[in-house]
Amino acid sequence: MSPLGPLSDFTKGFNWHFFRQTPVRLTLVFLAVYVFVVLLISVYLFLVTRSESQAWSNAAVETRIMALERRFKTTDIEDFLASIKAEEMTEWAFAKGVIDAKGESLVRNLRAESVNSEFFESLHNRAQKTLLYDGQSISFSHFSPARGKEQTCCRYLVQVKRFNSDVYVYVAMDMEWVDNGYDQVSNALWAGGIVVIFFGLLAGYFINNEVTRSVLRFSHVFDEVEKGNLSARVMARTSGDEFDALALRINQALERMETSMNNLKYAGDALAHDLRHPLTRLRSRLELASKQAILSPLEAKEALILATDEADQVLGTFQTVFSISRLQTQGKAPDQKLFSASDLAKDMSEWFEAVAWEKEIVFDTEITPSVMLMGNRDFLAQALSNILDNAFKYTPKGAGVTFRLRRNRAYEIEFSVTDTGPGVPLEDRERIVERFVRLEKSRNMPGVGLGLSMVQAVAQAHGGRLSIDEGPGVFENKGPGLRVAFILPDQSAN
Amino acid sequence: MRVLIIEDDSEAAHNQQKALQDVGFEAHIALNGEEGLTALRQADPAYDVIVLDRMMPKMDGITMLKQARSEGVGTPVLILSALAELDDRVHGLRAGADDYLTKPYALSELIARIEALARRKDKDQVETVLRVGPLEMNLLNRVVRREGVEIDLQPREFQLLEYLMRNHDQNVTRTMLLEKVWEYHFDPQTNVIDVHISRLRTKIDKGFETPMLHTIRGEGYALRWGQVEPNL
Repeated sequence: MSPLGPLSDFTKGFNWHFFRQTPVRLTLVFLAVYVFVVLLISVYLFLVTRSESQAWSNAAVETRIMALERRFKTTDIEDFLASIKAEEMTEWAFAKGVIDAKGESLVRNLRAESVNSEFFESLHNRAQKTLLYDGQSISFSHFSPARGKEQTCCRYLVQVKRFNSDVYVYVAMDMEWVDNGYDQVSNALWAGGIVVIFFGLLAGYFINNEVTRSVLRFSHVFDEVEKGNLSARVMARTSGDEFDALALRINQALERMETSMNNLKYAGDALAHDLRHPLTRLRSRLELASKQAILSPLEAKEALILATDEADQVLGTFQTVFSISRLQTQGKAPDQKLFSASDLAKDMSEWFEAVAWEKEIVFDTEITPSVMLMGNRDFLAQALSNILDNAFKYTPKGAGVTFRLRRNRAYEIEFSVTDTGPGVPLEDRERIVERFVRLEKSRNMPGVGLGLSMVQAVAQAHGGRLSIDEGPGVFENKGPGLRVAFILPDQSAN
Repeated sequence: MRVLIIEDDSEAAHNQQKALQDVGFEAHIALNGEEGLTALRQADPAYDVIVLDRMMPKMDGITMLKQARSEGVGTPVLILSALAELDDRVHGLRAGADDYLTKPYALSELIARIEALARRKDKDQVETVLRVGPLEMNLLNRVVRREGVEIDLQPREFQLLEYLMRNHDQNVTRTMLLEKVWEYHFDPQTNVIDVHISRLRTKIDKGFETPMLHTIRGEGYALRWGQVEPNL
């Protein structure tokens, strides 16, 4: 099996028909557009230049007829004929000659000598049909078949004019140069077109291969994910093109998915593990109660009350897990209102002041007045209550807890709780916000390790964060303590 | 006291009914919203409290409640719901409910809240002095006396005691205190409320022969004078 697995596995939803692939289609569309544009340009060039060259050629022929006519009128016929005969190189592009009324050639210039006989047959035919009887002049194009390879051109622009009853002068212009021009342009266009089409197809083929390879990188990963392997990643290259950007995004999304899936798996295991103890106690208490029900009803009742407490604890755990999940899935705390953060902090400090009094802990509060906050008051109260509860739980008698509300340097709203308890080692600080994580030394404390997870979820659902640092340090066998800051973004702009 | 339980889960409904009958209430069951409306229209005498399940087939609790309120039914309503979030509670209260309890709940919590609702109904007149046995609270000058001795209370302790006095001889749960005195809706999962109660207790009971502020194990607290129930 290839490293990518059987072909059929990653071809789902991907059409392998060559002409269905996007780059191939794009190439073909491009080439079709190219051919169409070339045709348009050719037609345009042809139309424009043909009328131009036609007009120019007509004028050239006309000029020569007029020059000959002037000469004919100013000299006698012998000199006139001799002058045509004498014309040589200067008028090489023009075949000139004179015929009489019977169509017999009186004189030809050098060029006309080299023109093939079909030309003259055609000339005589036309001249006799029209000129000899009525016309002053005619002009026409003459085509004659090529003779051999040397003479490929065969088109002449011809004008014939009657100078007197027995003198007919013709001037024929060889149109070879014009036609050659067209041929060259169209050859160039076609040759260029073939080159473009060839390289276009070649480029299309390579682009298609490249794109297919890139798509395969992705589809391979999705196959793996479909099979349940969330650790699959799209191979990243460094070209920085859109495929790499996409790969990066997909990898990030997979990373997050993998983390949260792992968290979920871990939380599921932890939930089952953590509930086993209370459920076992619950079961044995119920069993005990049913045995004692008749003989010692008072003891049975006691067992039932303990069982109810146990059940309440289990339900409370479920409720917290549910709340955390809901906050995390919704991403934003529901029912947010503007309220006084200072009042909330005062409520909390008043609340825990009683606990401090009972536990004989020095409780200081520093609350910045009139700080307003947009958020869900109940969730925020619960978060602060969890943080304070932790602080009081781990702070020994006689030590201190400080609760502050202030705006920090970034003008964020910061609730912080600093205790002088044993603190949390640096390496554990990230872990303690995970669900059901309880450090060894707190195993015998009440709780199930959801408090800070809840706090974290509440902070994130308000766009805020949790920051856990060392407390004030070791002093008189106490400390180093822990400082937990619950930070909400600066909302003063809104 | 007459209570109408509107709940589609008949086992849950019968548990509630039995618990209410145990404390001496008369409780009837309607298994869906339509049945509930009919029972309300035909009730004679009228019910004192309605316990309404929020999620029911045919007609859900909120719709039924709006209908009942539009027909002029003023009976206090306690909504039971599996939806815990605050906005769900807000919707419920806006529809005309008087209290909101989230599943899973303790039956003792349910009964305590029903009692509080029933009592609130016949206590609409404005009182200026609350009295429970020898304990006297003047709401105007905010002075509390027991057997004539003035007791110095913090503002929050005053509120706490006021709520307990208004609901004297009844069980009041921790969540009820949190909701009514501090106006927070969440399960604190700490003993903060107990600490406040015990502080209040030292102020009103210390130095007197008969304790008034009792802890009801597994249920909450009760302020009472006189008969002490043979409870655990």
